[in-house]
Amino acid sequence: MTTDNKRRSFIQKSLMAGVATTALIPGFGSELIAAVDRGPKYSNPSDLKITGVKTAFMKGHGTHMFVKLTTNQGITGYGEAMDAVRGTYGVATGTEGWDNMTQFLIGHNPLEINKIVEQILRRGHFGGAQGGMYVAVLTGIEIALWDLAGKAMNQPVYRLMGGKFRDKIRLYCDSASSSESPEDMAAGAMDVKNACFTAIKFDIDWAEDPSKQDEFNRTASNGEIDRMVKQITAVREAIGMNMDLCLDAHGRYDLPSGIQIAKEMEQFKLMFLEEPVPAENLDSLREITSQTTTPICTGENQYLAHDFRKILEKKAADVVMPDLHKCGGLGEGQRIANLANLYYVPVAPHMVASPFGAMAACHCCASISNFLCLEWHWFSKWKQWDELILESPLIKDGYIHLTDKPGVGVTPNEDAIRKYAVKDAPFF
Amino acid sequence: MINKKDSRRSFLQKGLVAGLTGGALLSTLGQGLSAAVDRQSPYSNPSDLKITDVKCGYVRGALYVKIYTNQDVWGCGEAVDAIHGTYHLVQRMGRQIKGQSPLNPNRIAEQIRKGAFFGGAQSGVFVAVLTAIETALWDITGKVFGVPVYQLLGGKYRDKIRVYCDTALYTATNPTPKDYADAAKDSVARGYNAVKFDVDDGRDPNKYDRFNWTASPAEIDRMYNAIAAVREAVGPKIDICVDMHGRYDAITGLKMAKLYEDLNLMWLEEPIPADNPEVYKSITSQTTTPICTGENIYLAYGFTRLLSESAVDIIMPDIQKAGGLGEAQRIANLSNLYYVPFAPHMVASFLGAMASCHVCASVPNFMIMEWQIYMDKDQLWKDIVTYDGPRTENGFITLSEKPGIGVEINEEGMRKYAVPDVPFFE
Repeated sequence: MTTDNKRRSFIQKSLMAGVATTALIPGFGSELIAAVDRGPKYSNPSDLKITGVKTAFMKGHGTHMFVKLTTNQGITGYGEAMDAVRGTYGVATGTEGWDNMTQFLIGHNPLEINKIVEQILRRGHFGGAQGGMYVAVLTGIEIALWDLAGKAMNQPVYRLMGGKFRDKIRLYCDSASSSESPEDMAAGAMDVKNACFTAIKFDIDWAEDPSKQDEFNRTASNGEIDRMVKQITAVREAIGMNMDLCLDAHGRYDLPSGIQIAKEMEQFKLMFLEEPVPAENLDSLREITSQTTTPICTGENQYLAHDFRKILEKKAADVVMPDLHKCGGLGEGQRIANLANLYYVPVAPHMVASPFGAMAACHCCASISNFLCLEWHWFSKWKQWDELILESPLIKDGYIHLTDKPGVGVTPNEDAIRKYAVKDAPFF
Repeated sequence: MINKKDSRRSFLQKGLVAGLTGGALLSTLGQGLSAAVDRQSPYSNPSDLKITDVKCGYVRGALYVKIYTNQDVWGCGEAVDAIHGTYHLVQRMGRQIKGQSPLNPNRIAEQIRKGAFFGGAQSGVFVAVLTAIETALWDITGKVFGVPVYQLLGGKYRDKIRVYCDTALYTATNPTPKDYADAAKDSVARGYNAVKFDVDDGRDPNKYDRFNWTASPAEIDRMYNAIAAVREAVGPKIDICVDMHGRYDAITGLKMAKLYEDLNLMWLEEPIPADNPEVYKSITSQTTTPICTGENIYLAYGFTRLLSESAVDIIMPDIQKAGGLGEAQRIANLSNLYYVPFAPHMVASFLGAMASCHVCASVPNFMIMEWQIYMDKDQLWKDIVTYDGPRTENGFITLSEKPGIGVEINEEGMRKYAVPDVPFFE
């Protein structure tokens, strides 16, 4: 393409409209005229159009869906969605004759990010757009739109989200231990601490616990609770009181057990206890939150700002943890955080994505005032994780640093992703 | 004046090119990249950009702020109504942000607000003045990166912003129903398809007294007949809004809302004062007339209760008072979760109007924005800002595509209107 000509035509249409007819735009000093020939763009934004939508599915931490949007101007945007995307191959890219998001995206200008997302949500009003898989798939596309917009305008995504509150994003590291013994868990915690992380999370639901009554019953037995207390005692002793400690119950308990676990854990001064009960009934969650000093957290199975509005209005949780690769995207994540901020509730996003998705999440985390910390879940597979982008390593001393590179700022490594591709699923 | 070419390259070396030389190409950018390297951020060198000064001027009920930087680019902002006597507050906020990069408007606004936790940052005058500063930061950021402000708010939903015309008939003494009808027809003839009238009138001879909040039967008659004449004059297809300016009590507010039902209003605004959401809820739940409030409510915090209680049908924050462009977007996003439309109050210059338009373009639930008939008629509104082209056309403002807000303060044009004895951009 002839970038130069297109740029000029863009400038003539928009910027220079006022200049050509009358005086200078008086808001820029003397350099404007000279600047006109140096458009700030990698592309010609007003004529940018989406020409292709491709997806790829990878096994990593659960199922990852990567999105790749191509345009008429040689720039490409990537996105990533997580977990609620298994088997959704046709939702984004579709089959002939079935409705899909690609039909809508082709020909659209990707800079109208929020508008496109809203339009796709409205198209899916009767097709599941209230939550779940439709929203998760859309999330992958939404992130790709931000990546494209940033690249087209030569700006990091956070710049297009109102700027940044911070330059580096604090991570909490999900546990390294594969054993349930208190000693091994304490040792695993020390590995994480020695890698300079300032916060750590352990799962306390253990499906194989011999004290469990049966596979379906959600009540924690005394033996199970005792096991949890012993484990966390060992962890807390090892890491000391100044490292933040979180626990995840994965929504596997009933209300009385949830209350009991939360109260038993008060002594450990947790940063939060996550999903003591499942995600659907917020009145039960509120009951737990109101009865314990342990901060209660939920959100990875909630979608769109509407779900979080209910949590916040009810005061059902102390901390919210939207998954920015499921909940609707970076823009929706920012809206969720802004809403939480009105209730003085911090945001600690759930995150199990690739380093590309992690970096995308960091732009949102930088753009909100009430950010607490971001999950990182790949301690035992760190090398594999690093492989998944071209610009590794991303993590330095327990933080991810933002850069001024355009778009998300890192690029999925398609060759590495291919190694873990889901069989019989599309791959770009 | 810095040497832009050199510093631009140095910015590039620090940021973009680091990735290129260090390893793989930014492979997703395609062939445009190498050519693009020499054409970076034309307006300034963002990584070294610093606020150097904040100056202001006052015209009538509005505050105009200019934030200057070390790179020959500046930003303009505006606040209205809750700004009288705030010259030294602007200077103080200016000292606070000098030396900072202006490119993170949300962060700076939050910093200023946090710094005045015990100094009135919860609402009112402090928030209004902060609004002007915040707006100017968006203007600079857009200019520096060569993009209109709406693009920094997530892109636009629309290119044209619908406005309703406030007829400003309140300047007349005891206007008759015919005066109302004529004013409505005049606005429609000018291309507007929505009009607003004030019906509260402190000079109404039928008022019980200046403090009592209950409207007498004759006053109620007057308020109804005026708007009935408007509906008669403009027909069923023109939207009509009515404003009571929060000057009545709950029984009067409810009575008017019920009476107006057969006139099919777009909304009835502030039938009661702004402070008590429970009473709003009571009126809203008893009438089919849509109830609207918001110009005297500040920050998103101010709207949470109104919305979660379903106390109003429409919200109308003033984007030159409520906390800024970012905060206005957050308020709109909040109201969107309750399926409540966003219809901003607007009495600012065309600078504030266009700043508001960027927010209105960036949210799905925008309904309509205010416009004042005197902005079309009075020379002052043309003199105080620099903007080429029509301001409203057929009831719409066309969104500016220029970098930043797209409208500039015209200091020379503004000077003759400046509030006397207050320093003017000094």
